[in-house]
Amino acid sequence: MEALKNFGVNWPFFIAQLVNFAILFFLLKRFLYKPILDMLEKRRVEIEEGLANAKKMAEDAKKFDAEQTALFQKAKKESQAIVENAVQAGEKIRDGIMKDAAEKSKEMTDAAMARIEEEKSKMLGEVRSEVLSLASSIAEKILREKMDTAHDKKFIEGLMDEK
Amino acid sequence: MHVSVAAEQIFSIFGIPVSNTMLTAWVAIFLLAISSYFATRRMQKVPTGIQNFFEWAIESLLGLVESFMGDRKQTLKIFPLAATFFFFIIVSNWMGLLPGFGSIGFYEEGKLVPFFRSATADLNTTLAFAMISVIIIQISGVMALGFFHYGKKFVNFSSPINFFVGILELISEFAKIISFSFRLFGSVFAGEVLLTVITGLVPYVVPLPFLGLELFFGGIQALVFVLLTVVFIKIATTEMAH
Repeated sequence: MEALKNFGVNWPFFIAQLVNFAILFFLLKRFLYKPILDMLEKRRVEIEEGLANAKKMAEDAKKFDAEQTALFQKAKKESQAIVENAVQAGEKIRDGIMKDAAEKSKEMTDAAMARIEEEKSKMLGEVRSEVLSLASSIAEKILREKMDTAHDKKFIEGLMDEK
Repeated sequence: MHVSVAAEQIFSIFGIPVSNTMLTAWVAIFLLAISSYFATRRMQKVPTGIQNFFEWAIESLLGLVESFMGDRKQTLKIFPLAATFFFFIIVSNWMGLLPGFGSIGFYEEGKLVPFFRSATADLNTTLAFAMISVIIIQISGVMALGFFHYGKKFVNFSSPINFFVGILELISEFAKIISFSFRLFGSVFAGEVLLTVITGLVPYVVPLPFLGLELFFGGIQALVFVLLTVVFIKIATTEMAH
């Protein structure tokens, strides 16, 4: 104890330094450690949350992207199907129209042919009867003129025989 | 040239003697309190200036203490004590290097009594720190292991060897007080004496490297005090392996 006294240790000074330390301890605890440790913890939590959020957002974006792609693919497929259907329908309609047209034109041609045929046969008939009547009238006239000749008489007789 | 090992009383308030080291301790407390008040007055998520500095200091110190304790909860429990030791000691040590410390004062009986003397260059202060440290070490041990379990370390009748080891342990706890206090006091006081002597011999330029060295030692001593306290607490709270 005497040695300590030589170093200037005495109770009032010693206790004062104890009190000083205690005062500083509580001051720093209140004004320095608590706010800063709280802030550090808060920031740590916030960073953790931020990272988790970023990760989640990246995942969401990925999912959204995949959904978009799927949707796009589906839309593409559907549009393709629609176009294909339309093309098929158009072709069908075209074929139908073509067929109809062909049929109609055939019908018309047939009708026209039939009429022509009819006309033709009718005209032929007429011509024939005309020719017949003309021929018979001419023959009549010729006959009337030349019946008296012997040769003719013979010819006609020959004709008659032939029959 | 006069160097006093003891702190001198410079005046008294209401009959309470005030030494020059007490005055310096108050200045240190005031400086620390003011700067921490301004550092945490408007806490911002993105720290700037003094808040950033203190956050850095506290985070580094916390990491250091945690690397010794290994447990976050225990670290947070003893952190205020460790950090207060650190800040008080480092500020006191460095304040002692300021011009005017040990040189401005008044003459009493032909001797210079300086107004300012680094708080850690006074055995009263370091002894007080050492007492606090060792008492906290014992309390931590008792709280972690229980009174009887922890007491068995010192008073053990299971065998003559254990009894003897217990007495040695008890002595070593008291030795801690002495080693804590004299290490810090000796280092700081010797540094100041060294600077005074060097400055007395060659006043210009030559003391500069020593000043830098003392700056370094001041920081190291603060760290040593804190880390020893932490390590002793760690040892006291850990079960003894038999």
